[in-house]
Amino acid sequence: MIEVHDLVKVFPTATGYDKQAVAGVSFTVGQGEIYGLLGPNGAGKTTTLRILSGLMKPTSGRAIINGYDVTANGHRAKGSIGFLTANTGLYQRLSPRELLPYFGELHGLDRDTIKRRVRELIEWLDIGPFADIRCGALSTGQKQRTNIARALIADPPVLIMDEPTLGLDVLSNRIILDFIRRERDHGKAVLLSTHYLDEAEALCDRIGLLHQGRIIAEGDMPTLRAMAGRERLTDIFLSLVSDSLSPTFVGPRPTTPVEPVEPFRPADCGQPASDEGPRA
Amino acid sequence: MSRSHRVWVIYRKELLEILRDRRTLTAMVVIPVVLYPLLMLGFLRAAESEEARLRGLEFVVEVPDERAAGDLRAIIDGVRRYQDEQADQQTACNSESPGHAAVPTADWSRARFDIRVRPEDAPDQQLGEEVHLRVRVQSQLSDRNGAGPAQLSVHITFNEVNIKSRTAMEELSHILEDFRDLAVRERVAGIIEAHAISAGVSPIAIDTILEPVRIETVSVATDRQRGGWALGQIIPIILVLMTITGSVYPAIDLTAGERERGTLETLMATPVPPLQLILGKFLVVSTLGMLTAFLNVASVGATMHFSGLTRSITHSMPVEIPLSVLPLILACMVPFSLLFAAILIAVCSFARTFKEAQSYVMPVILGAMIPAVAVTLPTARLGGILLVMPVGNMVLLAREIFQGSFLWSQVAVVLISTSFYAAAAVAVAVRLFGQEAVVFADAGSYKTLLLRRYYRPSPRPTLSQALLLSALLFPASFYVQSVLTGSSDNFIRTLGWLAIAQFAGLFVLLPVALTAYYRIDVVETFRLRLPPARAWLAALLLGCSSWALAHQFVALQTRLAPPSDALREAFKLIESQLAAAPLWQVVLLLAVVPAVCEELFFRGFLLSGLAQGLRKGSAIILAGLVFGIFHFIMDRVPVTALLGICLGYVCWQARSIWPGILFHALHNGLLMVLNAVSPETVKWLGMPDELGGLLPARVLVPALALFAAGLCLAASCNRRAPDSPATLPDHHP
Repeated sequence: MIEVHDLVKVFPTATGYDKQAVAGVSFTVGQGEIYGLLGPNGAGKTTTLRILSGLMKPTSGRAIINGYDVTANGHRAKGSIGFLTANTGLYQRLSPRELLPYFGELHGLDRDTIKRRVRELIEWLDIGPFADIRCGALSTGQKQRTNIARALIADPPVLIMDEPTLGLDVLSNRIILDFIRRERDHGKAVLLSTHYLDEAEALCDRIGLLHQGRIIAEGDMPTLRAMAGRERLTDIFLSLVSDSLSPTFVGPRPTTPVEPVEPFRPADCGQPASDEGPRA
Repeated sequence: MSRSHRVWVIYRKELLEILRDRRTLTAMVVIPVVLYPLLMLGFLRAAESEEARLRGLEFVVEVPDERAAGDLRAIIDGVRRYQDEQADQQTACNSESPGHAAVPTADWSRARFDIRVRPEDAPDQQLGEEVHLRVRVQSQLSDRNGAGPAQLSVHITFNEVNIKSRTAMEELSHILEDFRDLAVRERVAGIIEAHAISAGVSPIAIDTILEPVRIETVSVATDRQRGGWALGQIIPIILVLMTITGSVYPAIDLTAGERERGTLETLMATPVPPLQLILGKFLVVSTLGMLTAFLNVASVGATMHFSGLTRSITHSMPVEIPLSVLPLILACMVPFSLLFAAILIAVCSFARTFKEAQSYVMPVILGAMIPAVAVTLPTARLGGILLVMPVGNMVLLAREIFQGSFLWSQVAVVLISTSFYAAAAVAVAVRLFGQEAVVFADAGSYKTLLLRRYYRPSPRPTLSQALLLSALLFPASFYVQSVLTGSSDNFIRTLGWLAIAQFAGLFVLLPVALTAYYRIDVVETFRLRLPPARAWLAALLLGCSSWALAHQFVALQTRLAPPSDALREAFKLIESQLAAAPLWQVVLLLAVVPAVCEELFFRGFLLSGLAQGLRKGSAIILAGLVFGIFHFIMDRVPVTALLGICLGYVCWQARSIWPGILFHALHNGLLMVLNAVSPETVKWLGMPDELGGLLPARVLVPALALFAAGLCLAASCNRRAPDSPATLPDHHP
């Protein structure tokens, strides 16, 4: 469902030196699996998720979503994703009942499907009581539930969620986590990034630890426990991150490249997207 | 879902959302419909009442002694009595013959004066508040009947910076001038009478002495023209500025505002191409710009009309509002509103926050105001470079339309140039909107959008680069052509400069420089590879026959819409100059240079760029239309555009620019060379001397056959070489 091969993202900066935010990340997420991408701030989680959701172009490497290359076939790939972050805002002057059909139409759904999906999502996520209130007047939890409904309107096979429970109360948190599980059980591939390690431990089938743009450890909980020799994910996380910084660490060495890298060529990841043309 | 439906979905949603915003409604409805009329009417009323108050004041005038006071009172009373008598006579006269012109009683001063003798020991106080004027009167009124006429000299001291003192001076001066006129009339009457008595003749009419030359002016303007003129002074600039102002808030809200609220990320993650997102948004912005402009114009127009401002502009002459031109003006405003919607969206796409966008928008508004205000001079006419000056041309066009003095060719040039700029601005907006550096604050710097080292090598220019360069070249070529053709009567010399400035400079050097800077493949962009042999043959057939078809087309067009006499004269002059020039010069300047340079730009850079965002057919047709429009002579645009489309097709099929150059050069130069080398052949071809003369069938039919054969050959080029490395992509956005 999600295949990421040696993904690299370099940002040009105003100082003239380039910043490598993602330094060769590879992982896969299968159907009916929740994959947790964990890491400290600045590890490259958000950049990776933004590349996968088509908001950024990779400098090199490939990412395949539901069989579509995100660079070569960006719009089809985007159509297969339900994308949700703590930052994805809602239109303040529209109500959930107006907003959901809008995103349905943008995804190219027909009228009947939209009606059915809106009805289902409003019921599943308990949006009914506030479905006709403008989003600007909703609480954080209500907004995030609406946002999830927005991401799921086209019933995409892949869900990419960047800290979906940030700042939520226990009740909203519970609704959302249950919903993610339920989507997994319906065969969806879920890629999740979070800072709440307990939540990740309970929810994720596999976890990738991202640090300084690279995956330093990957596997299900028993594998990670065996690697770090610790029980709780928080301890595993701290142990692996500090190991990766020690000079004896034999895994992929984190780099801080400052030189401009070789410019990205469309040939690196297949043909250029036919609908966008080559970048100039 | 079709592209247009998606754009419509975005448009509908954005419009609904923005109309729910109080700020939009305030800016769009409350300010123009309520505030402007109130302000305007309030200001007018306040000014009127202040004036009335001032005129109604009793002004205090100080004189040095009782005698002067008596003289001044006598003058004022005398004038008032005369005015009353005149008014009575006028009333009687009007009741007898109502059509008679009224005496301008409104001009008579009704101010009251309190004349006081200034005590000798009075302190020397400032004129203005308590005392408004000081007056000295020299000579005596009683001396008037003495020996010879006496001269009265009135010396008024006032305070220029005090409004009451100044008004008092003006009012008193009016009365004194009336008194002077009366005195003149009285004295001259006395002289005439004395002269008539002494000469024993009847006295001549006094008016022939006092007014030996009577001046009457009659305006031929109709009420409708007068109304158009009055509205044309004010409405166009309001229309233009309000379209821009009305677009500002939605443009910020739909770009930087959306980014600030985090919805841009949500939107960019949907499977909708940026072009469609931008189109939806920019149609909303231009709709709101137009609506704001329309409401403003309706409101200001109504206020002007009902408050009497129009009458004051036309000096109380009757006016008729030319409502019938409003649809045309509004239609002309459409590309203009699209232009500013696109510019504002492009500018605001740079901004990460609402505040940042506001500061970027200010220079745009100021930049638009400069040309708008510059052309409001009554002497500015819609012509020359002003025809293609953004903003300025729209203000002038709206004014000309109001005044009923526009030409359709002017409307065409203004609309085409504005549409050009709008298309380029949209292309830039699409390029900027959704850029990583713009959407995400942490995703690098704006330098990536400009600096060469951040550009990846690409085979062809983008659609936005092609449109932007065309939009820049359009006014530049127009300017170069109008300057050069106006500067010299020597057509060959003009052509020489044109070859250097326009063809070599604008059509070749600029695109090549841009291509090199942005790491675009020069060979691929300008299609410099050699074509298959059959493409050369196709070009030869087309070039040898196209002139006949073009001639026939122009002849038929001339019969439908005869060209102006000026254009005929210009063509004749050019023909005579060309006949006198050496053949090599004519061929070089009229056939070779244009063929090479125009092909490099229109079929090279432009067509390659258009092919990046459009289908084959649309790209070829658009490049052909642009080619036609760049020739600037309206009568020749259709035929040149058709030629451009054929050239574009040949170039596309051959995947090379060279056959097009041959075709183009032959088309331009074949007949000239034949005419010089073998005039009898041209005679045999039956070329008519007059514009509008048709070719004989014995020429036309073979030409048509050759042309069709050429097109078939060109069509076969692409089929025969499917694996050529220079294959043009047929992009489907």
